[in-house]
Amino acid sequence: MILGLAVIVVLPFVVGISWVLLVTELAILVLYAMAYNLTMGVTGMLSFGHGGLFGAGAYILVIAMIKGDIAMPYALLAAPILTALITFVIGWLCVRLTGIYFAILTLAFGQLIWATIWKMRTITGGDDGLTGLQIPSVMASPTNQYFCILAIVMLAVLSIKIIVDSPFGFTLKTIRENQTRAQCIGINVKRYQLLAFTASGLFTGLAGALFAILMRGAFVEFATVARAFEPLFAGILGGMHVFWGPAFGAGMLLSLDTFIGAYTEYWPLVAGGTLILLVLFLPEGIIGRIASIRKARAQRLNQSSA
Amino acid sequence: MGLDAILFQVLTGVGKGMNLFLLASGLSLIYGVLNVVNFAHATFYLIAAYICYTITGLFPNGYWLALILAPIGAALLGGICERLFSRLYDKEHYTQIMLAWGLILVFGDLMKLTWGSEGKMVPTPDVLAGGVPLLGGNFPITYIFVIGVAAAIGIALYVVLYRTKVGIDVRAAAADAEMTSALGVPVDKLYIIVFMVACWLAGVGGVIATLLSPIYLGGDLEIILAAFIIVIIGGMGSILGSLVGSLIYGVVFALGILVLPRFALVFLYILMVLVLIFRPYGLLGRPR
Amino acid sequence: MDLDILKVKSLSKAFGKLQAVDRVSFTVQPGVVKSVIGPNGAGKTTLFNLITGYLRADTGEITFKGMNITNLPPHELNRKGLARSFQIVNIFPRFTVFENVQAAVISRMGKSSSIVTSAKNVGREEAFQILDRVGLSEQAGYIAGTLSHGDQRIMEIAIALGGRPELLLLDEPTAGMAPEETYATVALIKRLVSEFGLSILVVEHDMDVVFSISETIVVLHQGGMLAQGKPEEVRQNEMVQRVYLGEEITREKGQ
Repeated sequence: MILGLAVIVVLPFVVGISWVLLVTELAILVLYAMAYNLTMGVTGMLSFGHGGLFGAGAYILVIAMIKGDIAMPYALLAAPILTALITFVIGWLCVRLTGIYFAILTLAFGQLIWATIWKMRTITGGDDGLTGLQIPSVMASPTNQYFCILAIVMLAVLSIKIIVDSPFGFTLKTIRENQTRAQCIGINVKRYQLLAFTASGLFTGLAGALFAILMRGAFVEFATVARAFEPLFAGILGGMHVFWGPAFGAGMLLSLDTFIGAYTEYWPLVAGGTLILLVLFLPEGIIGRIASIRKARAQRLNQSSA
Repeated sequence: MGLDAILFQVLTGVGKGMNLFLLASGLSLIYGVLNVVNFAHATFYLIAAYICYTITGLFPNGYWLALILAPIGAALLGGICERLFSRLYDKEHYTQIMLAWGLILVFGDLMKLTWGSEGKMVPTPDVLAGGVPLLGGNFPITYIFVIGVAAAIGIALYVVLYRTKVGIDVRAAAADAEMTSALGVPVDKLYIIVFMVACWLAGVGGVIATLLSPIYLGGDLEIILAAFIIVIIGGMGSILGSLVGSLIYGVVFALGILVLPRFALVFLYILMVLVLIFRPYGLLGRPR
Repeated sequence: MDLDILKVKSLSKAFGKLQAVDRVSFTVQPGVVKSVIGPNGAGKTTLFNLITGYLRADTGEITFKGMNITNLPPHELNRKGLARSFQIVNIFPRFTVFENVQAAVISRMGKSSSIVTSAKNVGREEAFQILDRVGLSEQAGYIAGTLSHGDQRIMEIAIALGGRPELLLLDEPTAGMAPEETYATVALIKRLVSEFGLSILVVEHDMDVVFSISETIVVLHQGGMLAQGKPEEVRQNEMVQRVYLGEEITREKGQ
């Protein structure tokens, strides 16, 4: 833990700028993956709408700052809160449905956000996006930006950790494991699903806003379906039923993208192949597999000593 | 705008819708029988379209050959993919969707590798060139051809499903696979056949779509979303529902273009959201 | 005014033309076991689903502790003190045995929305007490799905107890159990009533079990009520004998 913190603090002074930027991006993607996992991994709701929410967070920040002349701290506060509001409204309609129907309705809303961004040229700049975001000078250098964004991400991840470990998080997991059972131990399933979805949207909006800061603008690509698949991919890669699984997955995704992507333009081929193999042979994810091996060993020891 | 022009637009919408019907019916069939959400379904459509492009480039009158061969190619590929999906039949839906997403990425890149990233046009066969005067406009023969082919296949599909032994087996397996299997029907084989037939339908859809629009990478994602909207509106698992959904999709989209050109798709999303909220199993679907 | 913990009045439910439950009325007194029996398709499970809020009644009224609870959703019924188990094992299979019970305890404590503390120790003591009571405390750390079928069914009762219910509805609690597991379950049900004063409504197929635990019995047949009374009265009832001809009751008598 302390070692990790030390690495984070020392890192920007020993590596080049491109690495600093890469790690900053990684931090944001980790937050996005963990935010998404509140919906998918923790509560067991498959959502394809998070691309739209990620884009919404980014555009709200950029529009507020460029068109509304709002200072960054306020914009950074407004983005997740407004995204959470949007998520709440979408979720209110979506939680009436279950399983694949829920997934497809979120997909529709994600696409609706994407289409709105794409078509409302006057506000969003359409497919040119919105560029030229002015960052306050304190945060302008890559190193300072790195520290600011990492601090925010760490706070957010800590909040997610607290939520997941709390009785509230435990309740969400009971819903994931068995909805009918959860209902008849007195849990209002729909209400908790909506709360989880909204919380997930809050952190997704924050991740989107931070991403916009890093990219100095917002672009339609932020809100695509492909963007919605990323955190799901990260969750499957790392394991979505263990807390750090999606973070690990996001890290692997970005490093594969960066390093394999540097050698070949056929990165999707590698990513797709990996995904197919994972789904077929390691559905728990890498961290998830390690965790369950440990758990099984612990239970065996327990049983043999009992 | 005159009534003629609106009717003309409706007719083109019917053409597009019937083309999508070939895709949506297969998607619906796979879901209904195998309980698999084949997110990669439009990829078979796109592959068939590219194969068609290659064949028409090789032979002067290759389109008709392509119409036979390309869907078979899509079906064979589908058969291989079914073997992968079969490992996930008893798993949660999201694993099937992730497998499909993997297939989309892999096939997408392979298509890029084979055909490059520029858009492709398939030349219209001479017989289908031109149009017929209709409602004060010139209605393209290609659209008539598309409507005819899709309608013929739709009727054939209906006859097979409701009038033959295989069709009865398929519907029985959709209702209760365990029971059907216990009655001695080889459900495993049935699943492969259904998956291949559905991919063949997608393939035909892809080949005839080349007459209406160019082929481009990433087109499969756009089309699969359309197909999903259709089966959601019509009802997952219902062939008749796909037909109704396809026609609604085509016509609403075509009319949407007249009203608010940039938001035509938004009308369909709103329609789908309304259906999902008020009739989650679709207009002609049944709860399962 | 109301001595009965549960009162079912003229309850009906039809599925299309099939009258699954037809004007059924009975009461459950506090601190006793009441059983619902009847041949297959008699409407027992439908009746259960009506009482527990999984189905909406066409007509009729259900009162629990004097409150009208007709058509309340399941989670609200649970909060009022009415818990159920399912015919097919219905647990959180990937949770540990302890977590299964803890989930119910947390919910009952009204702590499901709390995010300030860690969930680890919330309701811990009570969950362990319950596991002790049903005899599962040694398996507390096991993954629930790995328990034997009988233990899983007992754990289901433990989950139900986590809600500190006053009325427990058990849907075929001994189905699929080995004989010794059945004895243990019967003993547990008796103990829940005698030591903890619970009222229990049971749907059960095993007539040995029914006659050994029930204070009173309701017999359903084709959705309607055929008879009601003490076990001996039901056993002597001619109509009941006719319906069950060649089935459990006569067989049981012959043994």
